[in-house]
Amino acid sequence: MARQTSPMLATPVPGIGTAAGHRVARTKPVAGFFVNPAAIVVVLLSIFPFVLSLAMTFSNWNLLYTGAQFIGLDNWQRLLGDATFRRSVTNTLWMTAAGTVIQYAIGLGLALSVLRIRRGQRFFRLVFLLPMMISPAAVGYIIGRMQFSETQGPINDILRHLELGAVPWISNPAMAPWTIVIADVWQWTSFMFVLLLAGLQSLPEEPFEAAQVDGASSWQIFVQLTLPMLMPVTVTAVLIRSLELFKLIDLVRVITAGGPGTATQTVTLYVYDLALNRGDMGYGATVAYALLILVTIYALIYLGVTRRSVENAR
Amino acid sequence: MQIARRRLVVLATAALLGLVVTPSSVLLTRAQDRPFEGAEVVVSGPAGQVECILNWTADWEEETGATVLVNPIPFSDVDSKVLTATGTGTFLADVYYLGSQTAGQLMGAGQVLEVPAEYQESLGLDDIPEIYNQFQLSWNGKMYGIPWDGDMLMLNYRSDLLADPTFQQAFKEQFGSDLAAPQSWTEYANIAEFFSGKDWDGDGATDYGLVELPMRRNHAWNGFLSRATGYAKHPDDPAFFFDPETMTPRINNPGFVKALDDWTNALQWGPPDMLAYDWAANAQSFIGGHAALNIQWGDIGPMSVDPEASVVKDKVGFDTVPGSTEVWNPATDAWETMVTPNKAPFAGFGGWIYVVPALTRNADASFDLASHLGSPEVRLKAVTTPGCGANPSSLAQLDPAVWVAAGFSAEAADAYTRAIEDSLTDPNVVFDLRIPGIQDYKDSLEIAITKALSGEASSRAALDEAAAEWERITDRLGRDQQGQYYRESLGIAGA
Repeated sequence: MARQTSPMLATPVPGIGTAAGHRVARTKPVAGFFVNPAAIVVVLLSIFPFVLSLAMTFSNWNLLYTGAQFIGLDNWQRLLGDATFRRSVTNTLWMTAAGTVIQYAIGLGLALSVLRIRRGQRFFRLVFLLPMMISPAAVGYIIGRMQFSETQGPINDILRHLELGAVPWISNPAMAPWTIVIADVWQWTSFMFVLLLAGLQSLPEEPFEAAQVDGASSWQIFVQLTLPMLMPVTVTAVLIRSLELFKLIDLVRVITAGGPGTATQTVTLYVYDLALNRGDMGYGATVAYALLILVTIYALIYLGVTRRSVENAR
Repeated sequence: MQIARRRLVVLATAALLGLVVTPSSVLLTRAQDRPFEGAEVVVSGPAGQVECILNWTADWEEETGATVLVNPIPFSDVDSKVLTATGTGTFLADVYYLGSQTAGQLMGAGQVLEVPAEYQESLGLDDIPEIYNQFQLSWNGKMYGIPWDGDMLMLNYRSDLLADPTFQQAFKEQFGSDLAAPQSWTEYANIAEFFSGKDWDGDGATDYGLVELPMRRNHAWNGFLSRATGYAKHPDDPAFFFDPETMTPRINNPGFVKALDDWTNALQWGPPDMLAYDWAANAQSFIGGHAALNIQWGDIGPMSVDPEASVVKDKVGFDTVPGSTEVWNPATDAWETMVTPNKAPFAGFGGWIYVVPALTRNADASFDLASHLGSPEVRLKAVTTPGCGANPSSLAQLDPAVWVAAGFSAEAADAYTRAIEDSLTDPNVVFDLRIPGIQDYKDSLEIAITKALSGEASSRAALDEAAAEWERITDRLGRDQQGQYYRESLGIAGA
């Protein structure tokens, strides 16, 4: 049977069926030498745990007891009736939304301010980066536990001196999530700032000069030019920070341990509790998978909604 | 000359050989005497406590030739580290310094080694109260744990304030009763209210009536149950947490609900951020002189006489945890009124003990070290050393002279030892829950407790939710099996 040529290959492609193609063939073992280790690492450290943890969701594996039994969809059924999981999801969504919006707003404000500074930009960039370099556990303790300590913290002390009264930062279920968000904002606004500053610096000057010549106000320029043109960076920065906030655990663990009650319990903290404190690996994996599904849905919707804005900016 | 020279050579050779052989033989003999020469024994436990054992390991190291290393783990991560190591078959330590609840889970799962008979002999078990021998160290009649600590929640109060005539008079005018160590939760609440919000030590800062343990993941379980026992542990009924026949949870019966209501109300007399107070914050608040009443373990005693940490030396009184004149009887589903407050001391947390995991690298050396630490002599030293996490766990440690030597006043030593002895010997004592799934039961109840304390839910709704969760946990783990474990833990005949 005659070998058929694909219409796609009707036009000779450089390197295929030529001397150059032979060179490629000869380099394959070399390429494999470089690619295979990385592929093996990905398979072992990413795909295998991914598949294994999916299998765990159908088991009753408990760290304390040897052996695990297949229990079908029991863990998923349990998830549907789990009030703590539902509360954890609500808290996570709320903290993610609040944290991302506030960080974006402050980060953009700082970036616009620093953009106007002609000298010392590098200094401010460095100073604003410092919180990012601190361990979240340390931030949780220094900012969350010490600064917001209701009886001994300086913030309440200042409020008392101003006769505004002490705020129950950690012990009040309505206030505690805000304390977590404030600590996260303190640490991660600089991330938004750095990305947005870089984005602002990369914008072309011509549209802004033209708008000024046409008599546009600063607000009009900001709303109709700066924000839309900054959209690709905005989408990326918000996506990265919101994905990180979906996995929030360290600050919560240190500042409130999920309390009072379940007011600050996040999904990741719940997974940690289930799997590592209670040893319930099967159900812990199920909750972790539920978070993965939630985050994937969020990311798909978010990227779908923002796609047009990003394309317009280009 | 020849002979003399030859003799000299012989003598010199003999001397040289003697020099070489003698130390070797000494070393050889010593090595034979040192059974674990070159071995390394790692002990894991809560940071800030486990390091304390190094005060008493040098002699053992010298004697056995082994080296002791400690692996401190942050308190709130101890259980998870141990569970992870156990579940994944990973070596963490040769000896675990562990809370007896978690240790009980490991015992039930066969993950720790039974203590060999030869090591049991040196532990002075005859002097250890039966509740510790039975509930803390053993599982299903076999001994797996080596003693270290005996845990009993108790009342610590500022004896100087309660003895102050000015306060006594003002208190009598306000409440119509004498100011004395509270025996009931009602009296406790009155005293807390009386001292709350005043600057009674004149340092310019507001002081509080009480400081307790309401933080989730940090003893909210113990803080609540030490109060609930008075309302919900009927003297005629050995069970407290569940109906032992049906395993129906009792944690939402009117006794528990009343206890949680009272506790929620009492929070107003503590520091405003008390919901975030862990064990250390609780202790520091009290020995720092900021609260009049305190519910804690026996650690407060030695801490209160530590001049470097305490401002309340010789100003602290000790008693058993208060009780309630109204007690819920599950058998009749009705409240009963008692002439004197129903006290049911709570052996919460159950005490730190040593266990040797199945994954140990050297079982003999591990048991040898653990039994050295658990010997009556070392425990006696540890129990009077602040920060070792060791409270009295044997009758010899309840000799007031021990505590006077540790810096207590004679009066305080007497009160301290009496409070612990009274708790230990009380027939209505409640030992902490120790059945499989304890972390699940504990976490769901702590969520409910803190929901109620923070106003997120009513006591009734929160405890109903927790009870429903307990039912699910019991069903998941097997109701019959759980019932069997619970009855065994109560020592109910025919279990």
